[in-house]
Amino acid sequence: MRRFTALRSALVFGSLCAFAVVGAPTSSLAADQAIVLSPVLPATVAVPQPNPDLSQLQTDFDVFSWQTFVALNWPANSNGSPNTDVTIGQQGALTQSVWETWKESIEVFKDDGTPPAPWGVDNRYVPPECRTLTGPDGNKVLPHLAKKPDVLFSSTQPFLTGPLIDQNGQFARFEISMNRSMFDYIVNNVLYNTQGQQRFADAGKKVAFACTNNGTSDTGAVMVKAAWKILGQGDDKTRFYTRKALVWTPGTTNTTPQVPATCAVSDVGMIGLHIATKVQNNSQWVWSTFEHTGNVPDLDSLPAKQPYSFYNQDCKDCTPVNQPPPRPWDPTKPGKPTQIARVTPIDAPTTALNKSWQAALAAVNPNSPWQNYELVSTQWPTLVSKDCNTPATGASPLGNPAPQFLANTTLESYVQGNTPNVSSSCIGCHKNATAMTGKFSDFTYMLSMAHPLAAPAPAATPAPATPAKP
Amino acid sequence: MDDKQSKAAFVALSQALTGIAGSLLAPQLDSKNILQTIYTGFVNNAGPYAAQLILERFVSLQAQGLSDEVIAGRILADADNGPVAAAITKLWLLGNWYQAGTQTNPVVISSNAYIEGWAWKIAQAHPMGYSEMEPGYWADQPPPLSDYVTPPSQS
Repeated sequence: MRRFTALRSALVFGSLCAFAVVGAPTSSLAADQAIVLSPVLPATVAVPQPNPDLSQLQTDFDVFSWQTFVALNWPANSNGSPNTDVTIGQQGALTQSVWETWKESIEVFKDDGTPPAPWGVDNRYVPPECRTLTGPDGNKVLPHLAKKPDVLFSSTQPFLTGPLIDQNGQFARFEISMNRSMFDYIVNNVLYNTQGQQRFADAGKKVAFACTNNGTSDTGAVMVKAAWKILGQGDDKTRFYTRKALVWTPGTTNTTPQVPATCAVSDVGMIGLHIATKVQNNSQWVWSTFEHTGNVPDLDSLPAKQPYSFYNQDCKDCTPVNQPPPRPWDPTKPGKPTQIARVTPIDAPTTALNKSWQAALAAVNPNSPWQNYELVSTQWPTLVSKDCNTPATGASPLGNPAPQFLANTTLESYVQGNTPNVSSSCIGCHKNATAMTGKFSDFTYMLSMAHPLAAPAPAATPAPATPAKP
Repeated sequence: MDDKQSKAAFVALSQALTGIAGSLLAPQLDSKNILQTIYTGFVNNAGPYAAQLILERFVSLQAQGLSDEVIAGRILADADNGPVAAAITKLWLLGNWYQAGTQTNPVVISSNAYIEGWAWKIAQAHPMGYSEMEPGYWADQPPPLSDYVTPPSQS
């Protein structure tokens, strides 16, 4: 038997939801088993089969992904806890999701290196350019133009990555958030600035976030990366999980042309969501990735007619499929739409599972936008780690991930494929993540966002003593 | 032999030739589909006749209850099977198919066959251009050989 146990408890949510129930996630034998819509994050991956093969385990992990997706997107109370008076997608319940109450990376790794505001203190950093604007939901600020901060910086170029531009010429936006477990670890170890990271490394410590702990409320470390599109002409807003956000474009000085910082209030729709969960005995984390169903067609189905956010078969002068747009990249102006297609189709069992969960979400509310999201896949280590932080064998620190490659077309648009070391693999890429010390940072690039703690301002120079009058 | 039996015989033959446990050569949870990659490379390059011949020879020797070492010795001594057996060994070690009896101009079976080559693991190293180790690993001693050649827990 593998590593996990099954939890069994469920409450019938309501008569309108024949198979959508609220409670703790339960085990799933297959894609067609009763689905639980629960605000409770699963602590483990339920493996009910006695001797599962790779495909069966993949489905088990995919079920875990859907359980996690539902729990994290559950409507949140103002304190960040899930609102159990409603269910996900229920009519009129489109408030901020649980994960949106977490700490965004720029709140933690501040420009001046000072400690972040405590957990629960609503003190999201608002850039100066946004401060005169009002109206965003929960002070949501979308600061990133690429999955890694600042696509316009040269550090992302080796990966041939670039901005993602929709059919209206708008650049996709991104945010990266962490749950309390990660936040507390970073704060307790002063990893939010470079000096703290150096002291941590000098003490011989190794970054190691907490794992889920079955049977307790400890969810372990969870981080999310969300991709959003600015909704505009031709977009059916009812099909997206929408938010009103401050869309901040940081200024740059090292690009041609230079881009001044700007900010605008916009309606944005979620188009992609990465979720990484550090599950016990999965030291390489479990990586779930979801997309909006209207993002892109499959590469092997081109040309594809249905309107897509990031593909238009009738575009005459667009860049080739899956190639970044030509420079210069100026997100303050409409850009040339990018043509993106999915290189590796979602496999048949995951597609079947998606249909089951989408049906469950539609049963809550036939207009629920959540029925328009799909799991691309879940990447997980096939080798069982010895504990939370020790791989099964030092010879295979990645744990032989399955699937070998995994890409979200909104987050790894230009690195899809099946070439080792080149094509997108969550575990394979994040294994290279380091803190500012160059030391391993436990599969998160966020620690590389740390800034030095600014030196305190020098004390005022005392005025020269006035010579005594003779 | 059907396809399943042929693959099982190929794994057992490969274990006898390389000395590497079959559960490592072809893990139960084979996320890179490495067995299919190597097996297809073997059949396509050796040819179906030569492939069938060596697998049947192996099965007949195995049925006599001989040890892996004895079986490997006998097959390598065969005039017809010996060069194919050597090519299979090199295929697992290097991810390349050397035409039987040759030492040059190998065919790279696939990128996965290359990065999963056992020569790298036996040397406690990794192929050029592909490493799974953490940043800074070059400053540390490599994992012990036992980490590479001991079947880990998988399920």
